[in-house]
Amino acid sequence: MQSKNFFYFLYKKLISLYPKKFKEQLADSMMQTFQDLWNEKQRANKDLFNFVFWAFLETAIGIFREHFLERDIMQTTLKTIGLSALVSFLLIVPFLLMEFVNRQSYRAAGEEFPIPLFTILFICGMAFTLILAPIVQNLRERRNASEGPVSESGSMITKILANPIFSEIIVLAFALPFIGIWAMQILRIELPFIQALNQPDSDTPNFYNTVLPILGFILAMIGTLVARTSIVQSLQVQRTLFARPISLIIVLLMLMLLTWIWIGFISNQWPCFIGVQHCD
Amino acid sequence: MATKNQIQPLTPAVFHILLALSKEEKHGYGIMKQVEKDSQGKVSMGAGTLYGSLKRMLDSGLVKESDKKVDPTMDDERRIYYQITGAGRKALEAELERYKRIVTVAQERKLFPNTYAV
Repeated sequence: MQSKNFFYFLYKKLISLYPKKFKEQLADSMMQTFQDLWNEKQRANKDLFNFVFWAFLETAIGIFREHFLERDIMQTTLKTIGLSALVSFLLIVPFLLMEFVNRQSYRAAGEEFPIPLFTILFICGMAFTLILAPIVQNLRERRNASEGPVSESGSMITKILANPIFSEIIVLAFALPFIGIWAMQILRIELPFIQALNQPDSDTPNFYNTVLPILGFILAMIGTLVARTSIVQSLQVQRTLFARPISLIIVLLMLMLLTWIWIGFISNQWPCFIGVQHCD
Repeated sequence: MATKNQIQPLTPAVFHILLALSKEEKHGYGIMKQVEKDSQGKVSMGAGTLYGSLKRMLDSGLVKESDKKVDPTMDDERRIYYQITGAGRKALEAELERYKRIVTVAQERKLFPNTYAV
């Protein structure tokens, strides 16, 4: 009886993660069905653990599906990603054209087109817009909005990020290692693992100079996107940009880092873009 | 009036739910059991799939909630029952017609292992 109550409680918590409208309409019925299935398995002396495992797994998949199918969330996400990709592409178009023209006129035959360079520029630009665009959009909406009820998307991420301490810890855990190493590099702090990153044979791709930075960057991007979502949420609820200070700092640092990488690559490759021969 | 949803083919889950509700209204657990029975145990629907489909069916007017009541075959708790609507019945009939036409084609082409004559 105790275990039934325990799993009943857990299932209720799980169902609370469904979108708001879904819960209002079907949560009671779902709880009733869970109870009916439990009673059936118990009467038939069937494996209750197996039942609970599959019930929780299948319901969890259903929760993800419902959130994904919520049209407004999906459309907003796709719109932001599409906008970011477009802005980033437009930013690199002039350099792509310059590279293409110079290649036709001056470059030696057989020299490879710098695809990695433009990939990095595109990713940096897209990441920058992906972080900044929703914040700017919500700031504009806040300015234009009259006082009234705040829209509640009810998404799972929104609920998880509702706890400021929890969200700030997530942001720090993901973003700090990469941003911290970057800051140490700039400040020339020589810790042993930083020295490993700056090995003399750094032209040869290895774990330290290839895999680790990419992994760190991906984790930092996840952390920054969590921070951005957290800021957007606080803008919607509390109508202030400064409710999540750590998230705000991480977002600003990441935007600076992306700008630094983007401008750094452009200035480094500028001679090549303007047609200087043997520029590399 | 026929809506777009009624004309479009149904997903397997929606089809089985409509079939389960075609004779009488049922609660969630009752629908699950009826689906299992209709498919001779070959289709087993979890709560996530059942209620996800029910949500979309409620939104598109294929089914509706009826009043809470007690199931005499189970405990004495009052349950939410779901019943098929006119639109749901038309959608089910259209889907069955589609199946019928497919079966007819398959029979004509002698695609069933034990079909020797139509």
